[in-house]
Amino acid sequence: MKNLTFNTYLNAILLNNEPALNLILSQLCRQINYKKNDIIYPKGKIPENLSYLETGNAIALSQSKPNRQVLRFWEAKQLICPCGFFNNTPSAQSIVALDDCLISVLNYRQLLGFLHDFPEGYKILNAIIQSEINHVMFNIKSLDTNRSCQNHEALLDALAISFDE
Amino acid sequence: MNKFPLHQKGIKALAQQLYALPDAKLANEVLALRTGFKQWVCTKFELKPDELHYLNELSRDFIEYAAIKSSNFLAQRKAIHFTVIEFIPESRTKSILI
Repeated sequence: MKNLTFNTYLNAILLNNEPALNLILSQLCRQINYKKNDIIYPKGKIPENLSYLETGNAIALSQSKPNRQVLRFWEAKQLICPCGFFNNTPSAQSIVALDDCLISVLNYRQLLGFLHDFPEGYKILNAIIQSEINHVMFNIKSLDTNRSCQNHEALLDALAISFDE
Repeated sequence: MNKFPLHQKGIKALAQQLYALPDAKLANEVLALRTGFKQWVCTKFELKPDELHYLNELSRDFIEYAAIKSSNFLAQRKAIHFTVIEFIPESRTKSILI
């Protein structure tokens, strides 16, 4: 079995504040393997999971070819908080595996059950949301300073990334 | 899992056994300790009647505090140091102080 690091990630974003709860929460995850080009989150569907990338990389695309837009990249050891997860709305993007990925998946029902059992676990949720806000802000800034969409397109072509919508 | 005597060596032996567990099994122990401190201590240690009595007399606030602290230590596989404070009879204390 591979060494799973979701617990390490939670300890890092919480500055080791709740190690016991982090360990308990991380063990509620189940592991799923995705192949390159697999859709992790389809556009138009309400996301039910948070996904921590143990290995591999993922990408958010507005749509498949043509006229696709790259919205965001995730690499190993990062958490995917898909749009719509926290506000229960259909996702406006598809998130696709860029290569073979191992993902620790946390379902919202498990998260709600955990928060019911441990109300102090909201600290973890707050830290996840804060970390996500920071990433989105960084993403907006980098989109602002680097508008070369052709580079993304060339990269996706080189990687032969496509998916069925 | 066998019960361990409640002293530094016993606690060290228990910690060694627990810390050798994979994360998934350690998480079960952490959960049990966090949510049922007294019961967890009773299942892990050979307690003498006076130790059991002392455990049962602990306040709810202290139990909650101990559960959080000890489960956080366990989750991080940190070393646990156990100290026994011996209560010296008052007359003897006085003689020592003099």
